[in-house]
Amino acid sequence: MIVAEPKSLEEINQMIDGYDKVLMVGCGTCTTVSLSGGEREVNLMATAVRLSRKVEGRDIEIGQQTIIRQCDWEYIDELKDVDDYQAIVSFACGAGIQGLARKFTDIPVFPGVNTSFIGFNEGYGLFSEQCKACGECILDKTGGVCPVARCAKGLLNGPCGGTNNGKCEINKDQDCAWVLIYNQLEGQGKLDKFKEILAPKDYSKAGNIRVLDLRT
Amino acid sequence: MGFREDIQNGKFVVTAEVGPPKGTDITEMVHHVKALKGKVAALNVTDNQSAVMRVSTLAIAKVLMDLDVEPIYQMTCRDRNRLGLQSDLLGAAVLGIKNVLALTGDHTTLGDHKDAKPVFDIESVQLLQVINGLNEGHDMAGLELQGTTDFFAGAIVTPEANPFEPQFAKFEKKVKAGAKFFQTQAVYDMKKFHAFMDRASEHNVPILAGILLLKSAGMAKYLNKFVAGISVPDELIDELAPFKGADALQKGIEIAGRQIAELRDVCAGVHIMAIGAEDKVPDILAAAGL
Amino acid sequence: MKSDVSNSTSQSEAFEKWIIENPVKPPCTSACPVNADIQSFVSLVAQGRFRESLDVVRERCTLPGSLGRICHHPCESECRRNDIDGAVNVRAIKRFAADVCVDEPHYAPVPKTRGKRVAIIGGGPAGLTAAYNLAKDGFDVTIFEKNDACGGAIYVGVPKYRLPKDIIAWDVAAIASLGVNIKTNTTVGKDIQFDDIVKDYDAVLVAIGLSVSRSIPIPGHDAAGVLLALPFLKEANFNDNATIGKRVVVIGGGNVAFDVARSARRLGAEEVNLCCLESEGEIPAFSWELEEAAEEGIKINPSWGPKEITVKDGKVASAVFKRCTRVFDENRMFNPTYDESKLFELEADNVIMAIGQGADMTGFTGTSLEVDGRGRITWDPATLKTNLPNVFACGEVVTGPGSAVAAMKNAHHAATAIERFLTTGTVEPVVIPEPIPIGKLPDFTVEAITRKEKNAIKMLAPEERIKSFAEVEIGFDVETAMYEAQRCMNCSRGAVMANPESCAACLTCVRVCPFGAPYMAEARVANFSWESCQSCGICAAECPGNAIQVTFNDDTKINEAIDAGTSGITVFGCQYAVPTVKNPASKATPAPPGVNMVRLMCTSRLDVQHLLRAIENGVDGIAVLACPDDTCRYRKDTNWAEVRTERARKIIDAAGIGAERIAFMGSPGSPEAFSEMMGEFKAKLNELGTNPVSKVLVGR
Repeated sequence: MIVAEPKSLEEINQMIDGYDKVLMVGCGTCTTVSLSGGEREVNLMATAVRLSRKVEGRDIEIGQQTIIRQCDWEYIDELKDVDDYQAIVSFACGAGIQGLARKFTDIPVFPGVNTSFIGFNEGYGLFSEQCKACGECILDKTGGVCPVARCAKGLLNGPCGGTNNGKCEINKDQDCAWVLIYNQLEGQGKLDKFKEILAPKDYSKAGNIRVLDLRT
Repeated sequence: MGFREDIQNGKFVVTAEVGPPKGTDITEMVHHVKALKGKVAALNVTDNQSAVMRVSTLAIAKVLMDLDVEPIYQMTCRDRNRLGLQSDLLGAAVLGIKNVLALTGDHTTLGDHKDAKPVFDIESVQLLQVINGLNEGHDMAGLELQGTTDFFAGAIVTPEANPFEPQFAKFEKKVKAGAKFFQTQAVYDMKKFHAFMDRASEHNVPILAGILLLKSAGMAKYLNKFVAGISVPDELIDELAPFKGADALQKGIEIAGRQIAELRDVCAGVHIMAIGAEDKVPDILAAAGL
Repeated sequence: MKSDVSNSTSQSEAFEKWIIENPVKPPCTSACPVNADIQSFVSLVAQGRFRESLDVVRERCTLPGSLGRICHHPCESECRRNDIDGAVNVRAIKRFAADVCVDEPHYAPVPKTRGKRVAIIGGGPAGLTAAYNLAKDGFDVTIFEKNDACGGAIYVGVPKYRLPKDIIAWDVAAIASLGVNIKTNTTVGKDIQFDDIVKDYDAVLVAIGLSVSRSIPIPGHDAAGVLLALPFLKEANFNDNATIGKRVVVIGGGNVAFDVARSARRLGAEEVNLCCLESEGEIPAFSWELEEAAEEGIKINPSWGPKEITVKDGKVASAVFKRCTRVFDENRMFNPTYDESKLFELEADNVIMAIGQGADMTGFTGTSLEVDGRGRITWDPATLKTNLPNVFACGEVVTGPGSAVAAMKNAHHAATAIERFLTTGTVEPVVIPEPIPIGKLPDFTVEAITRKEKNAIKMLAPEERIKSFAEVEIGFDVETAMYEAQRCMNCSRGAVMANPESCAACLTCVRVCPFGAPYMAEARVANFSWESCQSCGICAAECPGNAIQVTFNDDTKINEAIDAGTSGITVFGCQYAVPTVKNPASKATPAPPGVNMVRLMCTSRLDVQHLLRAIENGVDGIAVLACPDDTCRYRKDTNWAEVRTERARKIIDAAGIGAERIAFMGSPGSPEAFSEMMGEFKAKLNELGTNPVSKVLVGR
């Protein structure tokens, strides 16, 4: 799932400063699940914006709609009366925000969240990054633990010298991915995989403007 | 005779290191270098050590050569992608630099430019392979070089890493990737180091034990608490504890010298890290009877 | 269940609607013969809203003071708290609701808008219950009661030590206050003729109960000193100079037999033996009657059938019993067998027969009311109608002996039948939907619920009890009643998936619930096990899609309560956070002036959206009250209210309103402390000035 975090009220207020009719659009998929852009968060932000405008003595009309996903044209089409608004704040991930921007070209679309990472839902309100979408998965070689996403340096051939009691040098609360990999492979009797030197990654596969065409 | 030859001839080699300064005034560093000239086989030149931005390693390595001191060019993967690393290596070769120590490098968030983009396009094991490729006459893309390098490539290892096994497996990978010598993280517990050497020696690669000068009991405790892979035994802390200031430093020099003496028959040499007290390296060596 | 008298909804329609709208009910309500809305009246007591509680009790338990004493409370046997730390003491709470309101005015008469007259013959529990319903439905109701006061069996037969006469009178007065005409000392067939009533009234209900004690034709049964249960109990109840012999033998094992034995003890009998056919485990009286009788020194002799009563000098000398070897046959029919070789003789000054009652049909012989060969009214239990087009019957006269509350259930049905007959002119079977009891608490939910020990009702010591007919039970005081009522778990008012299309299947509800109630249904939408759900509302206040509602505490109701505050202070707290009121019978806790109360089932239901809504409405400040005590069933692992209050504070701070307008406060503990707390907060808010949001609104 794509994990995002809500932007601050201050940031949102700056974006929509010149507008007094704003549509806030929640996304019913990833950002709802990551507790950052569902109906609840949209309502909280809309209320917060209205409150701050009232304090300033300025009026604002905020529409709130949450659609199933903002990364599909068909769901975006379910939005109603968008033309009534001067600006849109999207609470989807970057893909969804741009979906709205592509659909409603005459209306500025602003991000309501910071898209953080592809993550795992560890439990209530706790998310951890697991994947960098590198386009070249090596989990078969690393015991199912991704060093690209979970090693601070994205190392491919073992722990750095910063490993301290199995924890990462940049965050002692985080496990060293390479210690996890070692333990996992050892447990499976597959340490030979650890000994194999992995070649540098092909970053052309992780570059920008990627398009995936599965039609042929 | 140079560093590479000394090692290959089985001479007990001593290296130390200098840190390029932050700024263009290199006076103090030059002073340190001069103090070590003739006392050590080569001097490591660190690369934005601890992710703190300083003078380029390549420039300082050239300064050392001009002072007639052999540099070991430390190269981390943090700040340059594979193009930058290779072009700097070729540059180093053009300048006559012979020794390269391949490192991954501390993370940017630990340094003074925490918001920098950490590169880590490749890492230490792969960098060793890249250096060997350049030595063989081709770059990472497999393209032929006009004129090749002849680097003596080294790497580092942490004998007291916790956990140890993954670290040792990486050490073996580095050997396989072409590391011709190793410098280690600071070692204090000689028993543990002996055990490490027992396992490492089968790979038949020269290892220079890291000697980090202890300046006080407080420093020893700090290392234990905050520095990964360093463990100062309680006996050494107790030995230092009664001394303060210059006396403590003197005690530290004595301990370092004693440890070097102990290591003479154990490994290929030592790498002394004096951290700002480079001028004391001759005293350490004297204490070691070298 | 609350029915609104002022609109056209009848009592029965309101009741049916209450069941149909939400058929899953707590096991107490399902087990209750009249399906009383127990958790509502218990919850109102828990909140200190005693008069409101009493009014809810009376809707189905039409004689709250009486039933609060004599009901056999099947609700408690089924209470799910039995699996944790003992049932909620529902009967004692009901009794408390009545006792605490004893000086409260009753009701204003209900306008007789229906233009129809109903005669009810017999003012016992059944007749009174029917009268209550029909009067509330706007009919002109008259009760014909042969005794000097209403109450029937519980007035004449139930001893004063269990149910004081003034309590019955109070219950009857409440029903009379609705505009019911009560004609006492009016015996049908003597003072007024049945056929005349049938002619004069649009509908007639015969609810005369079983008022004649039966005897057993054994030798000596008619000797001097042999008494029948009901005349004896009537004497004991109403004749202050009543006496009894020193040695008394009671024949019978039902509740009436125990009433007789215990009354005899109080009249001065020193040796009271109760003999019944049934074996020890079969004795039909309630178990607590056996225990209390034994405490009072009454000897219980099971498995003995009466053989003869010996007579000496024209007076009872002894009662002789034969061993009863079996009471019921293979077909479970009453068919006792005896071992005549085993005899048992008890010397006695009095023998009292308490073996059952029959109906007194004297006023009906020779009338148009059809009676079968055995003297029973021809009656259809489905329509509750007799042979006559406008005459209905209900209660024990037609159903046979049972409990008072069972007779009242039948009377509710009769009132429904009569209301429909008088409305539509037709007679149809009365089909009342039955509530579906919620299932057992799963073990893991039992584990997760905080313990809160039960309060038993106190009783006089046995040696005190036998000295007089003083009431044996001592009712709860205010604190005990509220504590006990707060043990109610409000079963079956839990979370529902209100907007399945908004459910992202994110599992937040599953993760935050301490009781294991939410689960993912097959359609990948969260659903909730009401067996486990404790209605705390944590899930609803965390759901990122706003997809969950809690039946008891849905957003519509909460927002209504929030919107009542547009200035001053709004207080959020759990339903018990507001302390005991000074005037116990007052309708609601009076909030200090300028304070709007928003009650939640649990503070965990508090939603950041609720707090922002109140601020947007223009209130100057919000106080969130902490949990009042640690005996609440809800777990305190996470202080959700505090966390959410903090988030709301941050949001309004960023909006320029100032975090200090929202405060998380301790539990006040007393109304005085609450007033003081609000006073201090108000002073602080005065320093801050008016909520800038409301200032703008006023300026516009």
